[in-house]
Amino acid sequence: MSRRKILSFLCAMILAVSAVAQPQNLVLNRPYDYWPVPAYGGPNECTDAGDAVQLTDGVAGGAAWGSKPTVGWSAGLNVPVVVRFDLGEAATLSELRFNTVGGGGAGVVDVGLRIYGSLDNQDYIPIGERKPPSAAEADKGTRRSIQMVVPLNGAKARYVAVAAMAPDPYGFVFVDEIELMGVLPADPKSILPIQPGIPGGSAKELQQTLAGGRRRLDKLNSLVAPIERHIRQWPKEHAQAQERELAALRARAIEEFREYDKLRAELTTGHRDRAREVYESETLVWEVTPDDAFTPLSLPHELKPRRSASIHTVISALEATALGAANLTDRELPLRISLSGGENAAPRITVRVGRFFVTGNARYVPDALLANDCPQVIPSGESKLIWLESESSGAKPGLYNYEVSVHVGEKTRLIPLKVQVHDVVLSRETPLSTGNWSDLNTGDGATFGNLSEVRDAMLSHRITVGAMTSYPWPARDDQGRVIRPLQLDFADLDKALAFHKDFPQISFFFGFNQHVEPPQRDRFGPVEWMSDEFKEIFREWIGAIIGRIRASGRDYDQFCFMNFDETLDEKVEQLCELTHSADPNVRVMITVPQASSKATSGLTAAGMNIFCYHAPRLEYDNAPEGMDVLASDGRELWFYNAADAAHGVGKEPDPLGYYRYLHWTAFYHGATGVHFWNMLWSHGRSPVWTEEPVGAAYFPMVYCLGPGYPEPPEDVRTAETVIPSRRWQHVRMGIEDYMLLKMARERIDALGDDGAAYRNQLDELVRTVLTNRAADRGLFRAKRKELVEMVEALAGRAS
Amino acid sequence: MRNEFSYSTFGFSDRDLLAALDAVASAGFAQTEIVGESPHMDPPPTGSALSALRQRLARCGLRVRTVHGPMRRNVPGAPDEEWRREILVNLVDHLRCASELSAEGMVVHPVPNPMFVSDPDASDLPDRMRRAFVRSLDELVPVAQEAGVRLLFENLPYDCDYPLLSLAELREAIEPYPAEAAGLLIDTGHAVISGHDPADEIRAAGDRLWGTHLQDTDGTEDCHWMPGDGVTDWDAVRTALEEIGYAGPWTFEIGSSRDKATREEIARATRAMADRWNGPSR
Repeated sequence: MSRRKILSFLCAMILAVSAVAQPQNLVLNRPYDYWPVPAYGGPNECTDAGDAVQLTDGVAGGAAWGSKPTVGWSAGLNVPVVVRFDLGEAATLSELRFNTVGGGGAGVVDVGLRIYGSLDNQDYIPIGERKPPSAAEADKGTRRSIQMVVPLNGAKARYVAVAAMAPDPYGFVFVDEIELMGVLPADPKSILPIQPGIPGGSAKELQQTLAGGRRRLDKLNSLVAPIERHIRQWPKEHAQAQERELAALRARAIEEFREYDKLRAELTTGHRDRAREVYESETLVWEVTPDDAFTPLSLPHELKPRRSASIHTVISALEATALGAANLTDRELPLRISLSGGENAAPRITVRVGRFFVTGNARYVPDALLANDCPQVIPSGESKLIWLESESSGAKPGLYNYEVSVHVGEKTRLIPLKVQVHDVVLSRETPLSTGNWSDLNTGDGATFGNLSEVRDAMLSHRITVGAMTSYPWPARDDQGRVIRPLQLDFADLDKALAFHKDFPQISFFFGFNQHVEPPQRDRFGPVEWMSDEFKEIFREWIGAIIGRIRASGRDYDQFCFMNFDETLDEKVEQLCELTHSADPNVRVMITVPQASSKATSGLTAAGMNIFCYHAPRLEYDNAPEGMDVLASDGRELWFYNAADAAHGVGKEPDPLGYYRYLHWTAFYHGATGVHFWNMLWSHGRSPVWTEEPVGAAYFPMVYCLGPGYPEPPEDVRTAETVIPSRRWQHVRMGIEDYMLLKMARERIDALGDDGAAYRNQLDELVRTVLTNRAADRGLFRAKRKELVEMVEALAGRAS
Repeated sequence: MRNEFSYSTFGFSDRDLLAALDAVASAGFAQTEIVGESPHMDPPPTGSALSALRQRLARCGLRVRTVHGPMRRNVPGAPDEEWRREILVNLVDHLRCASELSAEGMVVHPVPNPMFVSDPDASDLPDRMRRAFVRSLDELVPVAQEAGVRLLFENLPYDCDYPLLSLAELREAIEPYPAEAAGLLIDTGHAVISGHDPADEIRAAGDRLWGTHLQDTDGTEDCHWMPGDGVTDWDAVRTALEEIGYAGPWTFEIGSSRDKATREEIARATRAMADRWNGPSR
């Protein structure tokens, strides 16, 4: 699955081919909302009551910007104008036509456009874009009526928002008519792209998000979310004072969004002073769950927080707990952590500190886990998350005691850490297909440094599927035709195979694109898609690659091919059949955003071997009706998560509810693979260390330092070159949960009828976890401990 | 005589009062101290809330031996008169609530944490605190007598030269007041981290000692660990209590433990340890 198209999706609309037949204008005479309110007023100007219907009244062309049928926004507008439509049900969209007025004499009417689609009116995904013209270019079109056409590539959406923005310094937006071409109801195979979105609900909310005010409010809300939990335990007078201040700051956040830093400083100071009174201490250290929704304003949920921490683990596993450390003084304080204890055969404890980021959807998350050699400070009034992880490879069962000394300024807090290693051994092999589509790019020379370290981190994290894009395309002659018989240079493929030799499986992504014509681009020369010549070349080409992979020692169950990404387009079926006609034993995989039998019937009929289903919203009892089919008749069902409105994208999805949880979901629903997009910073478009703007996301689950990577900021000074994130650590913990669940079931099955009580216990345990998702983190911890104890007890029964 | 053990709801400060009482009872305790602040008693219950609390106590078979009065700024030794008058109302409200719950005593912190004091380095501060403490007792003692609840002043671990932090000094301060209205409480952890021997403090309090907060510490922090987890000499503490003929509750004020994971486990382990302190049943 290539996320290269996340943003390039918008740019790669060169030859959009609508997947739907006979598109019509779906918004003709349809109501809409907009924000800001049109404002090109005066009795002789365009703003009037008719603005509410004139954008979709079916009359286009000829209107001038001062005339009444025009809807206009004044000069100098330096924020986007948003117009939003509700189509009533999901449609398949082919293009948007944005008709600006013509005939004016003094301004600019050419604008940039970005089109967003949504299925739930909550998360709006970019589905099309027209870059704004330069001011010089824009100035040329002042007297003409312009129809701007934005391809939408068959995207599926019920709600469509159009954001228009004129280039500086003109700032005019004048619109005569908007036409949205597509078909209703939606083609069952059409999809809304899996990409980072922005929160919506109305044109006003979308506009405020894009303009900045809403984002500042969202940032504030993210920052203060823990306050609303911990002040429940505060004395009422303090809690009420804090609530009053929060309400006042929220009221100011949108209007004064440019003063966000000042608002945050006011908030932090007031909160700090109250907290110091409430907790009667200038520094605090307390245990939190490792997945805690921790922000710089997190504090204990108890007035006298417990001074101890614990971990329950098994042999050859990673498990973690965490501490919060707060500085309630009026000055910045250094934070140092030291560890003592443990003994022979004890688990290895690693201390890290979470570094905060602000994400594209305005959340504060402690994502990167910096090693303990990195100097740390806690700003006045703020808190940091201390990560304590236990790696138990080679450990023996037993209770191990450690002491964590947390030095906040001059104050030292001693936290006993108890690690209980249960008598359960996880196998070295991982019985699950796991991956993250990290293309380590090792065939043609490393673009980035540290690739071996990244690979080793993946292997030690039980990643079993390596992803590769290193393979040869056929050589072509001067006319661009493929030379027959094919000439293939396998040097890069051989290097990549050698580099990935320790991965039990490899997934090859070939990057065909259903949105371009031909989908293979020019890689097989000037041949038509699925013509006889194309088929001949493809069979020869894929056959040679299969042979090379097999010659490297890999059997058919140790590699698979992924030709397209996140689509149900019939071209996927065609290429799957063609691949099998070259070699019926090779496995073909496709990432699918839907799992209904109607949407996937063509793919199953075509012989697709592995369905990798995008499953962030899959829970206990909402499995799509076609999922059983995808996991039957020799097919494999894998799950993956990439981006979703309900859970966010990039850094911000909940480490427990999104990453760890998916392994429990896979166990329950019978999937044999769990994958995430992605691990390695490989495209350079996302901000790595700085605040992400709206719509941006840093997907990788590690932070790399070294050649080719962005220079880290001042506060990141560590010898470590592959810095894990909380998400990344939770992936391994989730994989190992899956292994425990599998062990429990196998041991119960071995007991036959005698295992009934355990079987019921396991069912109830899984049900409890999946139906509570991340709602009760303490409950998850308790249930996982129960699972570990059950597996341990079952071993005793078996013996 | 077998010692009477009580377990503070402090040990279950992660839940509301009724749930905390259930947990205390489930661990095997028949007596408790209710913490007089959020999330357990803020403000003191009245009317139907008080009735519900009594019903729950009865259902759990729990007797309230003591109530911990409000903390933080709620100290009789408040050095500022406006502050002192403001908080006296809170102390009186809690005293009356303790009476409604048939508690014998109410724990009071005598002087403020330095962080609440606007002029912590003022030279006349100790004198102002002493005078405020006396004025407050003059007002509180008649209320305590009427309520039938003894005020129990607790030794505190603040790192400063404030007065009335040790039991030796507090004993002298409450001497003029009737014993049934003004007593003392030893917090063993506070004593250790203040550099005092808890056994010496117990002996200094003598017959005015009517309350305990039994908790262990690493020697520097107010850890509220289970007895035995830290550096406190528990044999010496028990011997001192026996020597003075201590007849009040043995109250555990414990929040965590070195090797027990859950609050329930800690409470049960504390109960088992208390039984060992009492020796075999007769």
